[in-house]
Amino acid sequence: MRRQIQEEEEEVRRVARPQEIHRDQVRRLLDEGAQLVEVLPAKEYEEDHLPGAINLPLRRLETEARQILDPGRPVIVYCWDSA
Amino acid sequence: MEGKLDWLAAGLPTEGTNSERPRAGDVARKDVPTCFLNERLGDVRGWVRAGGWNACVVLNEERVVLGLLRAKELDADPDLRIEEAMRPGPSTFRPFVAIEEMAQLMIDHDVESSPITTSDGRLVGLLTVQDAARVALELQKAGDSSGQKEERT
Repeated sequence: MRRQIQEEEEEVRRVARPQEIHRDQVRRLLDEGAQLVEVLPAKEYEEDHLPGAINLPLRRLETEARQILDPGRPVIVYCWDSA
Repeated sequence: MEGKLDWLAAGLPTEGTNSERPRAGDVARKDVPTCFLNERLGDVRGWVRAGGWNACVVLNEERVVLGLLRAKELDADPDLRIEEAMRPGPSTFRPFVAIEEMAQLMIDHDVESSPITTSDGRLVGLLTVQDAARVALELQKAGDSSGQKEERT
């Protein structure tokens, strides 16, 4: 029983852990209903953003993510580059 | 995800104020002739010029740009292989560069034409200085005339 609980907790942590994905996977996940978030400042978002992305600048991410994002759908977060 | 830069460099569509203005990838000619390394220059020159072009981009099987043939290279010995005649490793630009910036750069550096490629080197199209300058000038005129309308109102 205890072992089962530990395995379930490990599975939840694994699913919740961020993973880096390729742009082809982005397109596939978007087709499946994923949410897309750009964390750059508003001005950069207004100039260019991926289709359908919402803007949640990094400083506001922790405070506003829970109110804005649907916890039942995958979330893809991106910045300017992977560095 | 690798980031917005990777998405832009792949020539994928975006939303926003920049996406409303023409960029290098939008103006580049997608129908540019292409050829492979092992072809004969004389054969390639024949159909390139018959199509009204004076340039040809050299690709591999995955459409990665390997070289460029401009007028000078096309006029070389027709029995040369493309690999021997071409200008290898030409300067390339990403599709998201603003067309005004491209026009200025090409004029300043006397660049007749330039392949526009994705971040992994695959050909999007060929941008000529004439096309870049024409579109940049149209944008400037459109900007000037809308500025004059605002002044009148």
